[in-house]
Amino acid sequence: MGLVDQHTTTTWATWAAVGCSVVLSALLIYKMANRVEPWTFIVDVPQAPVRGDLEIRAETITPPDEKDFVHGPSLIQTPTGLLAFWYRAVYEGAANAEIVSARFDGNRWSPTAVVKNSNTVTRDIGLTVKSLANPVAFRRSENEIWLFFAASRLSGWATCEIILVRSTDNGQTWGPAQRLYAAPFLNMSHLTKSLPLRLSGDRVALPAYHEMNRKYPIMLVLDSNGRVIDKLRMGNGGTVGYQPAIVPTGPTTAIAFVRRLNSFRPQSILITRTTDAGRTWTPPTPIDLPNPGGPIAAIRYDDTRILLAFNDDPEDESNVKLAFSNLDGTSFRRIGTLVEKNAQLKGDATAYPFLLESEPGQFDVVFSRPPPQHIIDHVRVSSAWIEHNLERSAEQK
Amino acid sequence: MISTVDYLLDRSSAGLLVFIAAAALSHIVRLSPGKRIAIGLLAIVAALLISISTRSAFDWIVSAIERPSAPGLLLLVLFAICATTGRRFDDRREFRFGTAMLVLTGALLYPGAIGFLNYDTYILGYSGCVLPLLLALLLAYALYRRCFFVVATLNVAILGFLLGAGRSLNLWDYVIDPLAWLLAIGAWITIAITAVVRKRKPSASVAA
Repeated sequence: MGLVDQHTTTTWATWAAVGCSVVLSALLIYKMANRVEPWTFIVDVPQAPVRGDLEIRAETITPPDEKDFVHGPSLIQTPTGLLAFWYRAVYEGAANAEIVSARFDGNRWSPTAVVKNSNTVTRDIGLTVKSLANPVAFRRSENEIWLFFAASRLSGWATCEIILVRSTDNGQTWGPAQRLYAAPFLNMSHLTKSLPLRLSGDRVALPAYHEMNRKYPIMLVLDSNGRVIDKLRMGNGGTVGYQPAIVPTGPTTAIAFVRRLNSFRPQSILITRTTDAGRTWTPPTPIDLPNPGGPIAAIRYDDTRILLAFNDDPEDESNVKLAFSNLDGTSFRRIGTLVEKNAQLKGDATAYPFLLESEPGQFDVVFSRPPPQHIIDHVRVSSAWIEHNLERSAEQK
Repeated sequence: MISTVDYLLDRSSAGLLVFIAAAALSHIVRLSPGKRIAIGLLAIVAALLISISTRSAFDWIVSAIERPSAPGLLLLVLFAICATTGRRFDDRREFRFGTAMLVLTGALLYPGAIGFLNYDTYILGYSGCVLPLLLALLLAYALYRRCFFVVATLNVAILGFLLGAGRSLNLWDYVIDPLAWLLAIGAWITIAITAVVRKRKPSASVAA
């Protein structure tokens, strides 16, 4: 009798396991089959009217007594002016780093304010974070800003993951940090650098890059809650470049300017293209603009041109220049030099340019000057300056 | 701020790993199961108190190894039982099947994810039918072999994914984690060594 009971129980348990497995597998297949709906790029084509001064306006954002390492600046426009972000630490990658911000009312930069530091991120995510880097802001709605940055959990940038913090009052206050899950190996190793993009269906494309073992560019697709729903390796794999700056040229087309690896030859900016809204990208190929191994900033200028801010030097981050690219990325024209490094000062550089059209016909560039300078600088130029310099450079040719 | 459940889950891998290491070491010196448990718990307390640079040793481990997947948690619990009671699982068919599947799954996932390959299999966990069908096949085979612990663990993992219980929206993160993969590899190295030793023993006794 006992044997019969045991047999009956075993049979029931077996059928229960079979039933559960069948139902869950069916639900899983159903859910995964059409989980990520196709997306397209939302293309904002600015008008860029020719207006403004023919002078370059330049300010230093960081306070004069800044002693820490400051790097990786970025910008976003708010109703009250520009809001700049960068990271600050005793040295690059040091513990207790800070993501800081400053506001520009059109006349002067405010004192810096701390958005997040390693301790507050540690408290928010419940895991100890060592350092922070490369903040990039994204305009989510009229008052909401999403700020992405990289956080290293152990030592070195290869242990980074991407963190998202949100502000619903245009950067006055910031909510808790949220981790972006994008990798199966301990959620390492992704970092941010370039401007996020809007996708259809209220989704966001975040240009990022993989650092561990091999560096390569990727595009993360986020849902409306800021959770990663897809991840696309840009450029068909390989060890090529990183820190992609993606510029949509149509609903399904875009080009991305990619920072070359130090070992890559020729010492040129790389470009990769997509014709299926970022699902696949061509292998990065060099273009006819030099790259010292620094990031490139790129935005849409008008209906036929892309504006680039880059280091026009194959060896050093010795200057920041503006150039135009056509929408195919096959033709380039230098516009003019925004800033050059101080050749008298050993170690000076003009690194990590970030470009924003803050108002129609008004362009702002921020970049860092690493130690011994400890500076984040801001340069503002107008479309009038751009068109004037473009004519001059054509005449000189 | 993270919830208490998330906070504890984030620390479960590290806590169990420290416990297993200390209990296994005390097993080598032949302490009783009660003492092994005590030493395992003391090791967790010590890891919390020992400071390395700016954080405790425990915090370093937590930051390094993340939270477990459902199969990873089961494997850690099995290893904890093994370390405290001395009971071996490596001669059990289901243990071998489960750990072999973890080794294979990890071999499929991690080389691409770390950048060794040009194709990243992790994207299969966001959408599409390939990974769900592979899991369904694995479940069917586990049922056929009557490996019910494996079936139950995979069902928990799938349920967790369907309910969005974890932070990740990728199916892979529910069925495997790097620590589980490494432990499974360790288990199979142990199985291989044991097999080699057993093969040699009879010939050694014949020679004697």
